[in-house]
Amino acid sequence: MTVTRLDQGQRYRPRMAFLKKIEALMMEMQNPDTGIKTQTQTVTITSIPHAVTGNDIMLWILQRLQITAEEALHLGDLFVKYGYIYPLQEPKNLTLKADGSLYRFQTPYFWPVQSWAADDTDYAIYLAKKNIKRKGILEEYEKEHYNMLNQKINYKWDFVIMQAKEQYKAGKERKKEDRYALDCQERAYWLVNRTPPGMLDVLEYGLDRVTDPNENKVNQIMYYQQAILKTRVKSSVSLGGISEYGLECLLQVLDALALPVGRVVKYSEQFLSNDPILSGCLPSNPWISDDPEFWDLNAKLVEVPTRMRVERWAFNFSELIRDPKGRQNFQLFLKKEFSGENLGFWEACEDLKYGDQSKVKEKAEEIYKLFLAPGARRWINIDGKTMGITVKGLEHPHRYVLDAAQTHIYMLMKKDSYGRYLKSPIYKEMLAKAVVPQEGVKKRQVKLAVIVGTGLFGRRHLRSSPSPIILRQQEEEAKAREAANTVDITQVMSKLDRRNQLQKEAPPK
Amino acid sequence: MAPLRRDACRGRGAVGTCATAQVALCKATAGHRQLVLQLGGSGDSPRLREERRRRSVEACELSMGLRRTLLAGLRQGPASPVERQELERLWVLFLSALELFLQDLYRAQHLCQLFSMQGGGVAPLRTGLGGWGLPSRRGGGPTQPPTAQCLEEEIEQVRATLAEMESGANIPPWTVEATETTQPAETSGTTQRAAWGGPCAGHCCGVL
Repeated sequence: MTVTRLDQGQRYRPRMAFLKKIEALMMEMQNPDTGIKTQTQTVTITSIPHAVTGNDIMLWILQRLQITAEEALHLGDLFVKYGYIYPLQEPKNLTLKADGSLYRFQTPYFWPVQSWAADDTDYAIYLAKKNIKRKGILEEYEKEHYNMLNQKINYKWDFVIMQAKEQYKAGKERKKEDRYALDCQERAYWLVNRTPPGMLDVLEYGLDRVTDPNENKVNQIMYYQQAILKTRVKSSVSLGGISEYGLECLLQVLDALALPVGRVVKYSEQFLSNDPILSGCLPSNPWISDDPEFWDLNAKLVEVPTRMRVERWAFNFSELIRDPKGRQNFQLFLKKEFSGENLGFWEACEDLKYGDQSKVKEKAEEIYKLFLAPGARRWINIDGKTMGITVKGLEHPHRYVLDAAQTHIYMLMKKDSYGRYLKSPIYKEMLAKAVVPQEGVKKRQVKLAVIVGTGLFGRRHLRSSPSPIILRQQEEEAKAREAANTVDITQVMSKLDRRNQLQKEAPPK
Repeated sequence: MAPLRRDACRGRGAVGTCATAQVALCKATAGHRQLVLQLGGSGDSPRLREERRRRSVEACELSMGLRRTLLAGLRQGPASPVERQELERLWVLFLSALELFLQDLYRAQHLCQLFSMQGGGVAPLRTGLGGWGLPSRRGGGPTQPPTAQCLEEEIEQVRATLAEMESGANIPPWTVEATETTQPAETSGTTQRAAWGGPCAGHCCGVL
């Protein structure tokens, strides 16, 4: 019984379209007229047919696909690495040499297949066979694999040994040449599928996929078509349990991940001008022109942001709140509206979620004291139910304990303040102040400038940006300063209110 | 291998026949695999495919018989727990053999489709192997049997057997202990683990 049966199909191998293409080329190579010419390989006293020289392979690819010699060599090398052709004189060196070194085609049984990976049981049988043939001939890494497999599939070890013996006997019945060829084939197969340490594992593709790439996609297409036509259902109605803020984030991620399709189109259209790859970036792409001005202009908390950036804040609320400069500007606006504590609270929650988790308790305490406690300095206005949930959760604080409150505040800011912000003079001023960088000098001119500026043998002095550690320290200090100095008007108002109330209560003596 | 045979002969008939049948099944699957290995290569020929089919049928028959005997043996409830253990072990081995066989059948189907003998469009790969057995006599036997259908039937048959067996007997594979103690070659620098001497503790955490 193999364990894969218990897999329940939860993981799929990726689609490997190139395999089919290589196979097609392999089959073309066999054509007696247009294929590659073969020679015979002499091994001790026998001779085995169907050997091909590396040079012939490369020339055939070159001629058939009409590509450069470098590409042909690389492609042929990949064929060898994926196990379609194996070298005869240096079996462990899976590279294509464009000279007289001999290669042979691998039998299709041993071709790599997308649907299944090389089986552990097969490998165990192969190693056992090798062990039986000549005791102790296994390489170090093979021995390790052998021991590991013995432990892993110990329950079928008897079968492995039995099968190894039978396969060995079956091999012995054949002619010597055939036996040699079969051995070479199998060895090549396992060199590709269980690479020895130090060799590149070309079949490594990372994690398995969650969805089956070969699945019939008809239903999904229909779903997408319907989704484009349908209007978006109000999130809170359908999924009550999930935090709405979380859902909002999720939906945005889904938006960005292209389901449903209609949203993608809208998103792409909206962000097209902002995309530095598709629409170029001003003044110039630093990677090409070696000029870091683009990064300087778009630094996190630059004095004067670029126009593109400020326009982006108007696309949707998350763009605004995601950008530190945007938040700064928004905070100015909120202060005027006497709801600065909202954004302060939101930022504090983010810090709780993503900041140092060892300080969760202290942070949560501080947030409570500052924002949530009755009579707090920067008391936020959330409804009684959410407040109840939050206070209860704070008894056992963790990173997501303030999620409900944060969602409420986020939605409040988005639905209420955001709209007014976009029409406010603060935003308009920022928009007017924003700079539109000039398109920088072209690359050639830059190169010339570099040469002229530094002399033919000098290197242009590239200054490095300040260390992120220092930047972070500066940010923290700035935050602390601001927190200390912020006086929300509500605090003042509440003080006045209380004074009035006391005065009202005081008189009856 | 040898001590196992002796035990089997000494034991009850059911276990004995099962063990020998298991060996025969292994032999048939090994031979089958070697033939499938050559499909699409220079050793490929209608004769080879015919031979492959023959072996496959043989393996199927063996598996049927073995399954019947094993099931009967397990249902009866053998007397000694040792025998029960032995039967369970053979059951797991049988399942493994059948799985390997099914895998080879899938491969064979895939390859036969890729390199179909009829039509003659695709040239087989020049893999250095000679033709199988005696020089092939094309058109010697009866007209080319429809290999595709036969293969699909075989696959279906084996798959059904496998599914039936898994649901039939409730034997978790990890309770089986290996009796073979083929010493693996010692890796330099690693100490010999206690697991190697004799059957290791039954409940291996090896099933990942």
